[in-house]
Amino acid sequence: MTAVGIWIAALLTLAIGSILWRQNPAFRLAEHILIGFTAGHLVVINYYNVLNSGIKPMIQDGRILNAIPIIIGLLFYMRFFKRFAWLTRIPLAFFFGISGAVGIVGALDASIRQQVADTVLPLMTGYTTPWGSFTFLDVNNAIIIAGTICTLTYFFMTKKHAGLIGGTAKVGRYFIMITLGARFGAVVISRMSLLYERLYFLLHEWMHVLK
Amino acid sequence: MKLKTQHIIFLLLGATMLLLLIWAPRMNYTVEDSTRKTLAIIEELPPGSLVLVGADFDVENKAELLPQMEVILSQLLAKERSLRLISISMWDQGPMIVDSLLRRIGEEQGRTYGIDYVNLGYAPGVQTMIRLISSDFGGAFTRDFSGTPLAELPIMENVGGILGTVLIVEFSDRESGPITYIEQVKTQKPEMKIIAGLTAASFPPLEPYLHSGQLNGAVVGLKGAAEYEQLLNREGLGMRGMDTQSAGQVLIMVLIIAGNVIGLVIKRRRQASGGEQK
Repeated sequence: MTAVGIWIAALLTLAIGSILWRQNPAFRLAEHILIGFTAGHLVVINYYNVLNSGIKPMIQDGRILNAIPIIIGLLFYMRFFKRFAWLTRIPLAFFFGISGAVGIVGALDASIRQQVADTVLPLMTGYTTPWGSFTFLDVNNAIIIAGTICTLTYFFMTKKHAGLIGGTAKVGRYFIMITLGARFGAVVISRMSLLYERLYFLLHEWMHVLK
Repeated sequence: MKLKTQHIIFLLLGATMLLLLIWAPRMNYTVEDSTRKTLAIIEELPPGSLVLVGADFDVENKAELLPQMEVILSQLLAKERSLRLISISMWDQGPMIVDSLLRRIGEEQGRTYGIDYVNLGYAPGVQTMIRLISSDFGGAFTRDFSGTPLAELPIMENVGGILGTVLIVEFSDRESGPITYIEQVKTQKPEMKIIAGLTAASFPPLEPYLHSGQLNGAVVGLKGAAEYEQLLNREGLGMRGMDTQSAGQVLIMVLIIAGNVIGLVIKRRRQASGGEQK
């Protein structure tokens, strides 16, 4: 990064960090720059993507078939014309149809069949020691099996949660709470890393006080 | 200007992390099995193997992923291994970061861009795009990130698609990154190895895939990077950052416990004095 780039990044970091004190114009300016840059970057990337992958090969290499997705894509803009707005349904239908089909095919095997198969686990595990062979309850497997069954029961909405179903669903609720707690903890760790990276940047690259 | 409770917490957190950043005691960390597996998979690759590198994250998460990428890409691009790397991205911000990193490490290791490694950049479509390029990279990429046509890059000769690679190394800040490769590539080629460099926040939903063996290895967060550096015996951004991050985590735990204890004491006192319970 150049010296100018480092100064801009450092000042924007301090401006964003100033929200910790209170709402202020410096924070709002940095926030708007960030949103504007992110949106602008996406527009530029996609503009060149359509140009290089679609339009240029069509004109320079004679790949006429590229015209079909380009025309279908252009139909998205018909929403700006009230009379032809219905035409936007065509690219939307392609979009949902194709991505849905591709996604479902992969998910059925990898995220449903194989994941369900992985919950079919032995509850007892044998250990061989110098004093003989013993069989114990495999606690990890038991937790996985119980967690899956109880959590699925919690989302079973067509039956009143009472009696055995109610008890199982309640345990499922605790499993969900533990999961959410673990996820929240992981998010806190991630945010700590962001803070560390910014502190390191300010001290190392901007202020040169840290090697 | 009056200090509020949150200001005191922010100041405490900042001061603690700054102190550890400057002090840098360099602690040792317990290495997770998933990190060891990741290292072993790369170590076992035959020389000349073709590896796909996914750079699927936004700039704000480079704090966790950059230290991992630095150490893993150095291992992958090591001259004695002579592995070949193709990098692609499902999201738009990843290619910017991986491009400069690949070129710098490539130069350090004496590898040549276009022959030993290449960055194809970003293509839209996520799952559909990955499915499309599983048999032919040309289905979504006509040029690399710098605009060079694929036909002019020697590394792309007779490559085919992702199915022609032996390993996928996916750096991602969301669980959908590795899941996309598991669902769209591993279902077609079950022997394909997939390892992931992940942010701490994106790891919990992927744990079942690691347990089932669909994900072969994972390096998680800054700690994962520190573990990897420890295994390779090289100090980098991961080890340096983990001391600071650990201090912040401990402080947050202390504050949560202290806050609950103080809250409980206040509640008991109010109850004892017969005051209104809040």
